[in-house]
Amino acid sequence: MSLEVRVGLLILVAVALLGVFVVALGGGPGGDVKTLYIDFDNPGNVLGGAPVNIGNIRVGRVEEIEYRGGLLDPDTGRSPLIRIRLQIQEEYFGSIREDARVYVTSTSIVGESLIAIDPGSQDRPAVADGHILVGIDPPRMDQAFAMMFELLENIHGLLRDNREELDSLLSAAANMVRSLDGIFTRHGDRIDRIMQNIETATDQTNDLLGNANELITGPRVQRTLRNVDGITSSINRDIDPLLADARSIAGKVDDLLDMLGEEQQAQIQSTIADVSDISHRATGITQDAEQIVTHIRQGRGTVGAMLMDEEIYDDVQEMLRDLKHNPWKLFWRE
Amino acid sequence: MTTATAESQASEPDDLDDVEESQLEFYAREIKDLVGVFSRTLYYCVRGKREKGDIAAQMYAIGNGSMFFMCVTMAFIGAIVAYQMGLQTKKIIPDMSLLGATFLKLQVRDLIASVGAMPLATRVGAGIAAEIGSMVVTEQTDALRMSAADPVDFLVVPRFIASVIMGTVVLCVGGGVGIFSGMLVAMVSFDVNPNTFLNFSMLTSGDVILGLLKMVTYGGTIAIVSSQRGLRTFGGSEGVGIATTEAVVGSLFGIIVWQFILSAIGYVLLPA
Repeated sequence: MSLEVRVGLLILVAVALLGVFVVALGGGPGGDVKTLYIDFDNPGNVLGGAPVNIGNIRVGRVEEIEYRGGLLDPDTGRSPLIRIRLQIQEEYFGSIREDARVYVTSTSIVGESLIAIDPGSQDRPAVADGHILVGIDPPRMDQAFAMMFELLENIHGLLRDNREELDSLLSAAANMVRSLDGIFTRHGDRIDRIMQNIETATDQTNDLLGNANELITGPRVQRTLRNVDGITSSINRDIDPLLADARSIAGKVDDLLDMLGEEQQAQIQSTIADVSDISHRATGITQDAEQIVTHIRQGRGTVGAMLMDEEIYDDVQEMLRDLKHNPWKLFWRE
Repeated sequence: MTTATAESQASEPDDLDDVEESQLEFYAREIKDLVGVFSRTLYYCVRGKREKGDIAAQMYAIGNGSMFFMCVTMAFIGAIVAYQMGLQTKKIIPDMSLLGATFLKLQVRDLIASVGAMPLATRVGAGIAAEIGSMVVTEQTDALRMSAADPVDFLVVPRFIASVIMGTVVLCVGGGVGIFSGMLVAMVSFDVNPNTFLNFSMLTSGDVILGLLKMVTYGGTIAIVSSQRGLRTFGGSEGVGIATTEAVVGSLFGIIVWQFILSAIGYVLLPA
């Protein structure tokens, strides 16, 4: 093999190696690409040439980052600050739907920022070439850190300015915990019993509720409810005729009263007054009788004592038995 | 030229101002000389006359002759860099998924060219300086001048073209070997899958362009600096030894300086 051939072979090897490298760098022999625009207000650290992934598969790259400055886009009616142009390989482009979610993420905590696409639901139409989607802005870590710093500053100031109060609060809390610990230690048995009682009570309540449920859903209650239902139905059905009759009777009474003269009305009123007086007296008599009966039941008085006192009753019975056997004692005293 | 340099080096400075002045003059003269050799080399690259097979012979000597040495060296360099990166990564974030991506970026953008050019300079630079220096001390270059032929055209241009082309070729192949050895180390030491390691996602075309630009520049630098030192050889075999040493040192210094300049340019024009 001549010297020139050896040199040529070495150059060919190097060129082939470089070619493989360049092809690998370009993500392999690529096909056609389509364009997709994403509107952001703040796309974070995404740079031109950053990868575009779907499900962690690289499907394209960031072609251009355009600053629009909030200029109104008449096509979309939005005023994005930043518009990013993506080049997506055609074979993946069809899977991106109109409700796709586009967000900025990174390969790791300190890794390169990239655009990730969640393709969206399959029942929605696919996006067209040059479609504009709205991206989800990444969290602003600088703002988060600033807020966290402010929060820490406030907490630090609170702790510094209220040191005595916090000390007393912590002491009180420690005392309370110690007291509670002492209570639990001293009354552990009682607390156990209380807990057991509560448990028993809850069990019994459960049983009670079960029984009540059975009772409510039982045949007797159901029957009663049916009867009540029937009664209310009957009342509903008969109330109108009854009211009509009552109105009719009231009308007739009014007519009757109109027919009576003043003297007769006076007599009736006098009669009613007499009846009322009689009823008052009857009531008094009844109350007296009730008092007498109550008196007798309480064993007071002669009759009461005779009826209610066992000893007198026995003496009277003994006396009557004695008189039955010795009637002469009615006339002759021993 | 050679006699003038010897005289200037032989003159002893009287005081500190003379020392500083003579040093400044020395470096200015060196730079002027280098620029002169480089410009004449470029001129003869276009207008010069060369014997058939001259460049091929130099390409074989520089490229094929350095291949084994460079492959072994680059394999070790790749392994060391991958291992150290893995160790540091393990300490900071125990996630090796991006080890390959960062390794490839670092290698392609910088290390293959700049670190690989140093062993190349030791071998190629020393060879060129010794070869040309020997011709100078045996007055072969004077014979060329007497024949109205510029030594730069006959001696420097073939070596320059060969060094630029084969330096790039050798560094490309050596870089591939270094990446492969780094991948093996990552797989054995850190259980990084080769597919995960060969992650080109962080590489850009700018990285490749910058890496290739550095390879070409370093190849040319080694040839120009070593040839210039060889052409300035004086004093017999001892002078050849000094020229060889100065060629290696000068080449390495040139590589470092170009590394700084090209990295700064790359930072502006081809950001990572």
